[in-house]
Amino acid sequence: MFAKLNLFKECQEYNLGLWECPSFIFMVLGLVNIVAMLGTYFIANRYTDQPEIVALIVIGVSAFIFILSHSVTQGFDKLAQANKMKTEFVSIASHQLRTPLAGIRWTLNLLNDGRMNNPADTATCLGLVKENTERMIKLVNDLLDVSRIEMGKMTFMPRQTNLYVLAQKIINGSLRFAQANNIELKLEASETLPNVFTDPDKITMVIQNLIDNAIKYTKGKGEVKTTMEATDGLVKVAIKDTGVGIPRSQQKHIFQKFFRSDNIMKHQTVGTGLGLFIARSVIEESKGKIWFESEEGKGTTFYLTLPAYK
Amino acid sequence: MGKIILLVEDEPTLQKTLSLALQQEGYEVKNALDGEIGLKLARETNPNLVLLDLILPKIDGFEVLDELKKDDATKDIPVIVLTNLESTQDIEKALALGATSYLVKANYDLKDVIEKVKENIK
Repeated sequence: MFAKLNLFKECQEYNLGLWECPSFIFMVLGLVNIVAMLGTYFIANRYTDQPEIVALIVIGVSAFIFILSHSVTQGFDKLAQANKMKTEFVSIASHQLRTPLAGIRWTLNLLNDGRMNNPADTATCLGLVKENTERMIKLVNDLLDVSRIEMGKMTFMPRQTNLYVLAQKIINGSLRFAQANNIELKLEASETLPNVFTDPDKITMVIQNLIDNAIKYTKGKGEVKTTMEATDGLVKVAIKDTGVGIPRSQQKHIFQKFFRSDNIMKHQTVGTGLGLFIARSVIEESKGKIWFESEEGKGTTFYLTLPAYK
Repeated sequence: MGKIILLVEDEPTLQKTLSLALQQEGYEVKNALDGEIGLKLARETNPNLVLLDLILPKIDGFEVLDELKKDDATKDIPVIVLTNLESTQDIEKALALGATSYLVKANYDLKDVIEKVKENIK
């Protein structure tokens, strides 16, 4: 009962600002109404010979109430939209989870029905189960990240971080994946690159994701080049590929949740469509910027800047 | 002579497991990893049944289905749609285009899929 009275908590739970939050605005409306009525009564009593003053006050109060009501509808709109997005989110997420789940189910069927007769086949099956399990874990982690970002509850633990050291580790870890795809990985940066103040785990995830994308969407022989430089108190990172590029018509959607470009779907249907959404949130949380330049058929360069640590 | 099944599926795990199970049932399995190859193989091999995924590279499953049903040479081949989409819209669209059956992958065991194949193969 009393929990209902704690409007601030409720507004916070809905992730709405106070002036967007219907229950808070309704309370303000009620108070304004009472005060306005009393005020009008006293003023009308005092200035009985000047009815226009009272009329003006009433008009003023009505206008104020009108504006507040407008915010109420906006608040409701925002809630309704959030609800719709959640429904879409659940439907897309469950569809994406089903593919690895079906993979695991069918592989287990093969093992269980005794269809695999020699140890090599059994090992292949177990490998498939492992691969699909990892894919599901990655998807669930991404979904949780997105959900935390949207609730404003992402845990962000910034500390001094050297992007060059970090990129070296990522690139070393990606060499095999790159070689398998016939891609050469390059890293160019001065070893005296200033540190930045950010969450190293989160930024690793972002750079890893950008490099993975660059490798994944470069068909045939190619190159992915990461450069880092310090400019005007910023550290600027560029990840340039010679890949399929992003069609002009789709460029504005690229950071949207679950968005995947038409032309990449023609090459590969695996992918969550969450990586760049998470990347942008992480970079913005570190007071940085992320953007890209791309030409279809020629390649894409993603840029990000983070403030240098002083 | 063994009956031919064309499996149009881009997901490697699903393609491997399903084609293995079908082969063990005595079917000859042709694999297509995208819609374009799927259409080409359907025309070349004249399969006894097509198992068709919907989200596919190059040409999606709906379009493959439509092309198969428009062409006199392939219109009588039964097509079982095997997908993880399950909105009413998608199901209705696939059935309207002439799919024989519609299965949501994650909801069926391999033996259920094989059962459906046996029921519908011509």
